[in-house]
Amino acid sequence: MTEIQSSAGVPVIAAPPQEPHLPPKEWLKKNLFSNVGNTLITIMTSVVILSLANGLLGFAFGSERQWNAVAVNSRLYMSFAYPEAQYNRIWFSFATLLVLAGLSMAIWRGGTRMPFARLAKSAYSFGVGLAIMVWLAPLSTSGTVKWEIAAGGLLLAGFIFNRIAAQDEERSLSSLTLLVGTLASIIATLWFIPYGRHSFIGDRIPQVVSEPGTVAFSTKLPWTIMLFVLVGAYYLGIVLRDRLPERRTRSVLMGFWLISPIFLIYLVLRDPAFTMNHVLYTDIPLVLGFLVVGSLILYALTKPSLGEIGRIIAMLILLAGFGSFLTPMRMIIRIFLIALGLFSLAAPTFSGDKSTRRRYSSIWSGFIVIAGWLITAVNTPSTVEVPGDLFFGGATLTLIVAFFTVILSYPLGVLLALARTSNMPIFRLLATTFIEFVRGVPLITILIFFSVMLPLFLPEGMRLPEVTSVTIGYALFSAAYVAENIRGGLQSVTRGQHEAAEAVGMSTSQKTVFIILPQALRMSIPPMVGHTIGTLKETSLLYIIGLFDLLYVGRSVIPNQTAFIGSTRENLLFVSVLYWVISYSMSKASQRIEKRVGLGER
Amino acid sequence: MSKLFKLLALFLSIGLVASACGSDSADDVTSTTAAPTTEAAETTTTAVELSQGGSLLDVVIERGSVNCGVGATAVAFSVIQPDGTSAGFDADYCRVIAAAVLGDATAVTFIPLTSSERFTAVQTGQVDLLMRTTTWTQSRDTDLGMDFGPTTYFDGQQLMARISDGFSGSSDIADLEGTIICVNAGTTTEKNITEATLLQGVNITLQTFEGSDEVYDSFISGACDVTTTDGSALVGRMAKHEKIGEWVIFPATPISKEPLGPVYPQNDSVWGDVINWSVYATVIADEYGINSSNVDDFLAEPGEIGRLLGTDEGELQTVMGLPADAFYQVIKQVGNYSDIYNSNLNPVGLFREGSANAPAADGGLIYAPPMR
Amino acid sequence: MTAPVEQPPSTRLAVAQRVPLWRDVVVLKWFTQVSLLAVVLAALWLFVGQAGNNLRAKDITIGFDFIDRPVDIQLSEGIDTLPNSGGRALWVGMVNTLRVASVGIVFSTILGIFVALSRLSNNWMLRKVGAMWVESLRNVPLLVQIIFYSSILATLPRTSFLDPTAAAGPLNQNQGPIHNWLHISNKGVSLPRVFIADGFYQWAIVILLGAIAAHFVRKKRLKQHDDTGRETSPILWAAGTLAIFGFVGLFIHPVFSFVGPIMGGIASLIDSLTIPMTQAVISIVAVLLALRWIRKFRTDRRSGSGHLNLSDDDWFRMIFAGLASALVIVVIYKWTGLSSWLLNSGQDLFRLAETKFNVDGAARPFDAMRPDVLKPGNFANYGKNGLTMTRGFAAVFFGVTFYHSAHIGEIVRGGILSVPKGQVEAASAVGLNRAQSLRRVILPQAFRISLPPLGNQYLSLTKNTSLAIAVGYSDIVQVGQTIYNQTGKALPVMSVWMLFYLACSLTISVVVNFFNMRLKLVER
Repeated sequence: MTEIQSSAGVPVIAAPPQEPHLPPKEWLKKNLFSNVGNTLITIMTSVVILSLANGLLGFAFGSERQWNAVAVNSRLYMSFAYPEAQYNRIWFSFATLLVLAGLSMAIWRGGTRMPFARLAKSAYSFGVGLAIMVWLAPLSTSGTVKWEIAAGGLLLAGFIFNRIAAQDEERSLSSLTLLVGTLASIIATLWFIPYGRHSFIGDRIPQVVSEPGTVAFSTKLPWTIMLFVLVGAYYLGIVLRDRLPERRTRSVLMGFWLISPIFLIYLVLRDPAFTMNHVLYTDIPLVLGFLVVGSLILYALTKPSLGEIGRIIAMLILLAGFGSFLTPMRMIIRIFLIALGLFSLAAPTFSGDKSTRRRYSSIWSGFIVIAGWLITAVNTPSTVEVPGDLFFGGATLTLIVAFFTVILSYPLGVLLALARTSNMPIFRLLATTFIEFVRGVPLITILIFFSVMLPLFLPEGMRLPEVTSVTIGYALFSAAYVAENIRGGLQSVTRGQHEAAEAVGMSTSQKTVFIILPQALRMSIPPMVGHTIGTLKETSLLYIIGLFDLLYVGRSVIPNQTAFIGSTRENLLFVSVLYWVISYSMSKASQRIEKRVGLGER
Repeated sequence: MSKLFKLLALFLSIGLVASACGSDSADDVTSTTAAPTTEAAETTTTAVELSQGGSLLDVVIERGSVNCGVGATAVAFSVIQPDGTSAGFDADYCRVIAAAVLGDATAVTFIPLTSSERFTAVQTGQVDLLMRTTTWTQSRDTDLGMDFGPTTYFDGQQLMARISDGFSGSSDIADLEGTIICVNAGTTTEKNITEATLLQGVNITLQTFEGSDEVYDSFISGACDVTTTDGSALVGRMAKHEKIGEWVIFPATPISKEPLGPVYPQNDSVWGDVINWSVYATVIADEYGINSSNVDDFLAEPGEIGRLLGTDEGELQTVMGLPADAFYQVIKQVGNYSDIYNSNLNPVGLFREGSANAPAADGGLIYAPPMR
Repeated sequence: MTAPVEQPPSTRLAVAQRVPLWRDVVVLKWFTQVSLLAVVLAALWLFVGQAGNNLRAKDITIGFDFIDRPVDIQLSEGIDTLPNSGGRALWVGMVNTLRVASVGIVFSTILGIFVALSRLSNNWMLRKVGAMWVESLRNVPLLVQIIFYSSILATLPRTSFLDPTAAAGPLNQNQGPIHNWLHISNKGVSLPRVFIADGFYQWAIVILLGAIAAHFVRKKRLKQHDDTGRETSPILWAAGTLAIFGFVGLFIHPVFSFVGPIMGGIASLIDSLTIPMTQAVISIVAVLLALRWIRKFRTDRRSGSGHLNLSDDDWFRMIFAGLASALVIVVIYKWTGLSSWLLNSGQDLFRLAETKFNVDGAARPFDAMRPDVLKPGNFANYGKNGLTMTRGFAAVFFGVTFYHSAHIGEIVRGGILSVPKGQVEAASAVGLNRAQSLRRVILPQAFRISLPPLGNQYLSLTKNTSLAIAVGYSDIVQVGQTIYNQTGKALPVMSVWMLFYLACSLTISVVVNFFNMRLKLVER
């Protein structure tokens, strides 16, 4: 479905040569009024643009718009029914992500230098744009004056920047400084300007009161703290960057990025009510047992000279894992047995000297600890009381579904791509059938199928929350597209690489894991980023099957509240803008990073 | 070549063994998968608790809260408020049950359900009680593994159109010739209007939308000439429209009967009685004029009032497994039928007087059996 | 797809002699594959069995009987708003989907090209507008856009063609922005409608002949061009030929009434076939196809000197081909209904064709009508005469067109920019002017580069029309959902959806691949 429009097919365009700086008059003449036709086009487009902007602004700021429907419901939009008393958990999670972001910015040396001349230019253009928009918008007189003052401020900033640039051409500002400065000024306004004019009193008979005191107003303190957290993490990152080995720090940070959402959702936000007895006498011994025994077995199995016997042991463990389904047993044991079987089956690929073998065992240990903890956490009821299955809703649900879809679909996609390019016909057949089938049908039919039909395919008494079944369906769908992206990467790996790997005596699996896949994955990063953004956008389809995602909240929940009946258009506009901001900034950021790192090129 | 045949034979025999195993295990799929199921179910539902026998009442008391299935987008009946809680007529009846069983009207876990999920939620035990503008019909009552409680709101499908188009309160189906009618997709509403117009041979264009918001949007803007749904919802919308007197609702006798009430799992008469009598208690309190503000004045009264408030030893309630003051708590914390009705439905223009929801004494249908 | 890596024969032989069965790579490979297949099949079987149990427990039947049973459905628009059976309703939905998808493909391509050109223009304003168009539309989910357009369209005036004071009966038609020809309101846009009349099928035969003639004309002009080197514009000539045939056909099409009886004859011929005969024919065809594939495979594997060497892999492949044909035979004999269905539907098809040609000789191939506004009861609505674009259609149409025009614009722009600068310089060096070099040098190359991603866009556009469900446009998904809400046949309806969309995807990718191949052949 709105298949992820990767720009894969679009060839990378060489950056246009830097245009010589022209004085305004000549610039206008060259770019807008070079000849009669050009002048006509300029005038016509200007008229069209101005009237469109006029219409849009009239629509957005017309007197009949109930924008307080959005303002009062901002909590519903972001976290849905998460209890207010537990909001510290949300702030903590947010802070954790900000710490990671700050550290990453420092360690990957994010940000660029922006020359003041360019800053001045953008400040000027934003200022002029804002002034025109305000002039077009049907605001009250005081509103117009306020906004025109803001536009004037931007123009003034442009003027100052210009003066600085005039003094010294080379002077520049870090884009990070600019970002923090902008954020800081926005947050500073929270302390002075009462944004909302309505507040909500939740009661049996709820009320919306028209007096200041809104979410934005009451959260100025947390937001300020968040800003300091971000800045602090950045400076900590700089310190760490200079002290620690770069490569290892980066990979550890990547690991944190991957783990943190799961950690935050299942530990911080859900706050599972662990029963100490169960944890101490069942879970911990189980995990420890598997950790020790598994590590030993894997250490033994990765011995290069082992040969045949390794495979036999691996098959036996795997058989035991599958066989365990025939006898009543704890699910966690079955999962661990099968995982151990798969790990030992893959062991010969990772054989080598002692340190390699030790690393493989430690990977297993890490896996078992995280998996054990996660399974226990998932199976423990939450202490945070939220209505029903709807632990999350609004933007949080959108983000979480997108995250899990991506996390589940990438490995699956890699497997499918490998199967599709393998030389084993049945694998190829199965993978090709699956991929082509999934790519041939719209996402909505798959989502409806998984929400309506999946419960029928499950054994008696087993019930999956609708969100889970839909996420599974979405992940399967997405995996087919991921597989195609990766296949593109796999095919771009030259034949020489295959031959070289074979020449040094690598087995097929070693060749795939250590030589081919890393190159293929690197090649397919740009289309995958596009795919990820698309996945996020397409979560809006959850609206159709009635899950409380961002769109559902804006389209169906809020316009039905007694106080805000029929406030559809403003909520839709807000949702569109929110989606736009998220996906536009994501795609811009990824483009910049790709360009800097030189991804997708060989 | 001979090796090839050996191979084939090998595969065939493996396949045979596999299929033999498969056919054996298929019969006891449920038994082998039961183990993981319970573990998965532990986390989410009360399915396990239910299967242990006993009444849902004990489960609810032990859990300390009522899981109540409600709607998310039914104006004035159950909507989600800016803080994520549910409010409305149906939501208040969830609170009534919580007040009766647990003595605390806030001990409700609201579970917003879509109309397709709602019955599954009752059947699987995800909710103890469904208060989601659900029409009581024979097939639902007999087929689907659930029982219906006393009707809390008598509704009926009606149509809404513009007076400027020549419609009036006395219009009927025959006047719909050539109109564009907007309805919600996948509801009985759609089926009713299709049947009604086909029966009278009236040509209409039916536009179905996923959400009721889109339906009203289209009607308000004039893209649809007529819209139809339960009368209560139409009145609610009409009251919110700034130009009152522009629209009209007809026909006076609804084209369908839609009695709405609580739904609970089948074959649990203890739990069913609790729900039925909690609802009746609000009606009886209304008959005596006992409401949340004056309930304390009635505590000394003898007779049925005493039995209702549990001052009379409260044996009626304790027999049901409730605290003696269960219904006192209901009235004190939530209110009587009129309180609930007026506070939720008056703001959207629905009034009891003269409607089917007036007390039986005033010619309505709201009536409760005696408490003795 | 990479070609399977064959093992050199000598190694394989050596391995076969030395290595025991359970260590033979080929055996292991096939063992893994077959066991995976078994696992997949077993899992499917288990799920299906479970679903069967659950469905029985809930008294839900699956089956396609709703296709010819009457259903109580009214559709908002389409070729038939009161379908008499579930199958008919789904058919209406399919036509609606195809309608909005095909119109969307055409307009998004046109708009996309405009977007690309404006982004490449040397006018700063136009460039910025193009960039804004792309960046704003690409980054908002399509569903949000469709819903948004729908609610914006609802704000169009209602009264533009409604006059409450007018008398009942057909309205005075002097309304709308262009009197009698165009009506705009929030109930949609109504345009004059050109439609296929009874004589169309005869006219279609003329066009078919015209196409053949055009093909020959084009070939001839091409040859002339090759011989003389002069500009002969073969495409123009071919199009002209076709146009002449089409125009003449408007007057002489009744000549082809004789096709009807031929079709009837074929239908009777099919009628005389028996089921065993059909079964036999299909079986023979299956076996022949398998044999042909095997023979071709063996020829492929034969080395230059005619020596045949086959690996075990190859043997397995050949065995699978044989098994597949056997499977076809078993199915065709086990399931007699299939053959009779084939016979019946074949016969129906030709009978239908017969009736289509058996029309009055004077029937026109096309006819046109002006939009009408009716006032049957108290107020007015569009009648059936005009080509009415309802609000639902418009919302979906604008949604997919705008959204995909942004993507197509980027693809086309990328294609144009990727033409090497040397090509443009070379073009001007040989004396082509700017328009010529754009048409002859840049666009053909850009088109070749952007064709595969364009095909993907068309595919996803078609699939994206399924979002119509959100705004009440009766596409196949919406109709299907109504049907399964009423009949409970969710699984059959969903399988119809998936088959339909698969068929659409397949058609589009076949067409795109065809052009892709053609363009590739031009490449040296």
